[in-house]
Amino acid sequence: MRTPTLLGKVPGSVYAILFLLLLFRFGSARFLSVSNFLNILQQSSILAIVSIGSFLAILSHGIDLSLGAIVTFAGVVSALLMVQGYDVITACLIALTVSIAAGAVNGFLIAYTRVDPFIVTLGAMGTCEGLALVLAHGATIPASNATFKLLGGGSLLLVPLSALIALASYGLFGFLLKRTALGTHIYAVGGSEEAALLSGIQVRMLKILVYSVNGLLAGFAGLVLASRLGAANPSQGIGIEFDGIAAAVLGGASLAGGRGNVWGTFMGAVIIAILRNGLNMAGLPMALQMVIVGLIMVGVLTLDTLRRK
Amino acid sequence: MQQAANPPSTENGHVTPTEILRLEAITKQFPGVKALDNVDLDLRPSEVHVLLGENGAGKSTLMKVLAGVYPADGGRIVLNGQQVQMHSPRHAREHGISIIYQEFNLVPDLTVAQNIFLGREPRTAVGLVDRKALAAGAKKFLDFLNADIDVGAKIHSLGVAQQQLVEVAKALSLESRILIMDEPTATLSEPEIQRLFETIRNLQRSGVSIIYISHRLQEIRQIGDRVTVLRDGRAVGTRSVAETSLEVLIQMMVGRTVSQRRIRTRNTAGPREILRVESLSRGRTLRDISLAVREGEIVALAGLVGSGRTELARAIFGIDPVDSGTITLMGCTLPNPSPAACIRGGMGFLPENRKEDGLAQILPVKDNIVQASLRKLFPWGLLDHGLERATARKYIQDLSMACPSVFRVTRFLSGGTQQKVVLAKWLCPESRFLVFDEPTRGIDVGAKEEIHLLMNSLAEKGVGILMISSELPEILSLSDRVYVMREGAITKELITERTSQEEIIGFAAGGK
Amino acid sequence: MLGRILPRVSRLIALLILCGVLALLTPTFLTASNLINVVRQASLLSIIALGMTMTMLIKGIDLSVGSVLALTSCLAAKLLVAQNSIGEMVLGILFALALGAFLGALNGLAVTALKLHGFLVTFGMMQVARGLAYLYMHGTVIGGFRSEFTFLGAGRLLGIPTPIIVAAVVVLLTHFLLTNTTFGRSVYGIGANDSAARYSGLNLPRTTIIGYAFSGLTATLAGLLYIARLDTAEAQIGEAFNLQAIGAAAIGGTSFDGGVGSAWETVIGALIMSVLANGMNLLNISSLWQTFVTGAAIVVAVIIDRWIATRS
Repeated sequence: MRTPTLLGKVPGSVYAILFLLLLFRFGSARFLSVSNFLNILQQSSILAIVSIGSFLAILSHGIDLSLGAIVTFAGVVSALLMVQGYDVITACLIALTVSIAAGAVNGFLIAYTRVDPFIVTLGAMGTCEGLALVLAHGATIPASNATFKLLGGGSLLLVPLSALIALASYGLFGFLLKRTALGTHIYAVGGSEEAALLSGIQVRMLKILVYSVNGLLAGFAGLVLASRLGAANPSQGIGIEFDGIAAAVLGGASLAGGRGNVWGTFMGAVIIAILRNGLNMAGLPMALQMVIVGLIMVGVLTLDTLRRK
Repeated sequence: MQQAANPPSTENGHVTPTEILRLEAITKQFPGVKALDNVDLDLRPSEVHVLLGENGAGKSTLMKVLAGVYPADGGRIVLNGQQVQMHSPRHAREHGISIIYQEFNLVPDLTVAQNIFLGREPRTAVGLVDRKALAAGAKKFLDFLNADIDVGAKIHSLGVAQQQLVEVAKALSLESRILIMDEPTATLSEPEIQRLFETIRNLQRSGVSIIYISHRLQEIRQIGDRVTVLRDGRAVGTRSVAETSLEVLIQMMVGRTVSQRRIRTRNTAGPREILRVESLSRGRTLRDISLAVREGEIVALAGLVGSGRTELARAIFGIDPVDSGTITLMGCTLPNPSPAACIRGGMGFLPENRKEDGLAQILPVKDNIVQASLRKLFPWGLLDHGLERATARKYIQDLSMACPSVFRVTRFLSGGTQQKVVLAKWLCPESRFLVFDEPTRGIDVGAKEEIHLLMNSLAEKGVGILMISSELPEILSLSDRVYVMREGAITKELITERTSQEEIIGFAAGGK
Repeated sequence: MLGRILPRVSRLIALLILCGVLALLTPTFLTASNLINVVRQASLLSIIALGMTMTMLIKGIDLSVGSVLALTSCLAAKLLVAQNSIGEMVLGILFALALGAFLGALNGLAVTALKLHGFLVTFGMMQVARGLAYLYMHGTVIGGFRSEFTFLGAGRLLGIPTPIIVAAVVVLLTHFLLTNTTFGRSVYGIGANDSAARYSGLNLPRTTIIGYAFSGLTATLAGLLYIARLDTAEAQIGEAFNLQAIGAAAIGGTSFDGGVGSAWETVIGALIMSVLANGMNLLNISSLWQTFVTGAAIVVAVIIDRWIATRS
């Protein structure tokens, strides 16, 4: 029993979104405005991109706690390079490369040392966050390059560019997971690593690939975030990995691996973004939002455990 | 892939052209036990060759060697006249050998078609998965099997019988000529079993040979061409199914030439009942079970794998719940059986699986020995290390354990010694009723006898014992009474001294 | 015999080597005042890490230590100020400790009842507790505590800083619990093999709840010492402690798979981390490297442990 389908094909998550929208309408008049919607789209696009990574890791029966740290890390690296005179493209490419490298190290350790992905990525979280701190000297680095700002702040026909990029990413990964053998293999590794091995699938290489792609996704999200904020701060991505996990689980993925689909994760990310935005708009203090979201997270994860029984 | 391209051997005369597979003198040793001892087996094309034997006879091990899961320690495998080595399961597959385990190797959230072609997906020119070819290919094999399964259905939505068909289709798609099926009917209903037999006959007609592992005697008559009986890791003989009676088969399965000295020379059962179970039920696993064990008595629980013996024991001990029925221990009815309550009531449980349930492998011996007696030995919650060490030493001595020090990490002890540690663990709280689930599994002959003698002396001191065993000689040697279980119910209660291995197996396998 | 002692002593040796290297690299390392400083830093970390070790021993983990210590300290802060009586101060301390234990027990209850892994449950608690702390404090800062209280964090008893004494007591207590009580046996038994523990009649739910409660309690204690030393309480304290505590426990040989670990070794782990931090400081390496070093240390420690396990 996964995302329950009511009235035919409409998944439960759409109803959840509608419910939340109605709920928050009562909280604030401005909630249902166009400008707020665009706001939500922008905010959710970063989480959405990161959530793909969370989903991929969970799908392969792993987990990735380092995504938030890589988001931060990429932002800091790109901002630093631009401040030192590198052009936007080069700065971004270098930032993405190091992000992929970080992910690859995760993948390599997970595949070859049989240490739990939880611990490996926990350690990676510390190292990447630490590196970001060191590089930024603990301060905020401005990222005010106009071209760079387009990434996070630009829009195409009123639709934020970042949202389009997020949607495109989902389209791409949805396609890859459904239509390529590799996609099938990731499901297999998560669903039954035994069966995957027997079938000749290169499980180790696959894991390295998954975590490297995660690095890429988180790195990219980090660039978008830095662009939107116009600055890179060594703590701006922290914690987003848990939102990503919740988004994936809400969208039907199971922590046991092998289940779910990427569009469900998208819905999950949107729900969380709406949730956070709505709580914000309702004037609730940040702290209370933290409490509420924390409780909801535990609720969602309990749901997953119950679902699996 | 190394294939020794030897010319066919001429040592034993000639190579039979009607053989596709020959296993010669296969030997496999595990620490402490010889699982296979010079086993020979040959397989003809389009044959259903049954592999018959009791629990632990070596059937699964032999097939795992053939399927590349274990390397053989001795002997050779000759496939289509050429000697081959199976380096891995994938390697075996490439040779056209597929094995279907009881727990299938399918990915629950992928479709039937995806599972069949996992790792070998047909591609389009661009490199994407050719979904049409995938579906068509899967359908082709399913149609051949007359299986009415939607190729786009996810595995978890299928029933067990259908999943099995998918596994068969997978094997076909790998162009397997030899299909090994390990207890295929264990979880099937009667109509599904007939369906499976039809499928098997279908496969035979297309030239596939099947090695069919089972101990269900009735089925063997319906589906088998020849049968090879294994006993204690040795091949007793190969017969034609049609020309051999069940009695002979049973005799081959259990008959032993070694004289069976009965360890239990006198019945020391007292009048008091230590355990009484009434109408215990849980779904289809346990069906209205009633039994009793008296003090000083050794009662055996016989039956084949899957008959529910361990489930019964776990239910009595309170590890698993029950739907209905009562358990009375030493005259006190246990309303909410739990391990702690049972231990307090004087019961102990030596599980079947030492490593997973019996001992904490990474802890020292002394920790394991006292683990079930903490409340008894240390009522105030404070440990007395001197007492702990002395207690452990006492049991090491009493049970003659090959263990140099109480601090020794349990993992490093031999199987026999570990079993003694488990026994010590349950002697320590002075249990009056002990359940032994396969007490001598994986233990060498010398240690086996020691444990039997220990069990006997326990009974002579008034301890009541319920012994689950798959080794009939053990049951005959050690028990006073036997309850035979089959498919979750007790089919017969026998007095050990008046029964025989054949009779027990007969009730257990349903031959009668 | 040697095979048994060597793994236990190896970390101590590593610590001594590290100290030796630093002594060579910088003259100020081996001074009395610096060493006392290091041990003092390590004391706070040890206390939290001991709680973390407890949860790790039963195959769990506690990500909420930083948040719980912040919440409990902030809630008790008002009672601790100089304007209040000693009785109120004592009440504040007791209240904080009780609350910390209670929150920990909630974690344990959720782990048992909801059958969730510790990291998921304590992650939720981490958010909730931190949020509540922010809510309560409204961005303000409470300080100016009674001198008796600040003495706990900044004072000295017979020349030894009080945090060291408190930590010593906690270590002894934890060591005692783990090695001399049936509870300790339960903890190790469950971590080593929870199925065998069940068969042995051990009470898994109770041990789990107490284990997590212990973690909440030690985190709170550390938090109190922390605000006592700083003489201020604010909502964001303790954020770095999570990772550091995990690092100290991991370097101290506590296994993430449960059943392996000890109080004294965790203390050595905390000492190693404090010596590293101190060394970086003395060598003028930016303290910003600390997070990186902690993260890397966790990975390295776990890999080495895994390597050793596969060898034996």
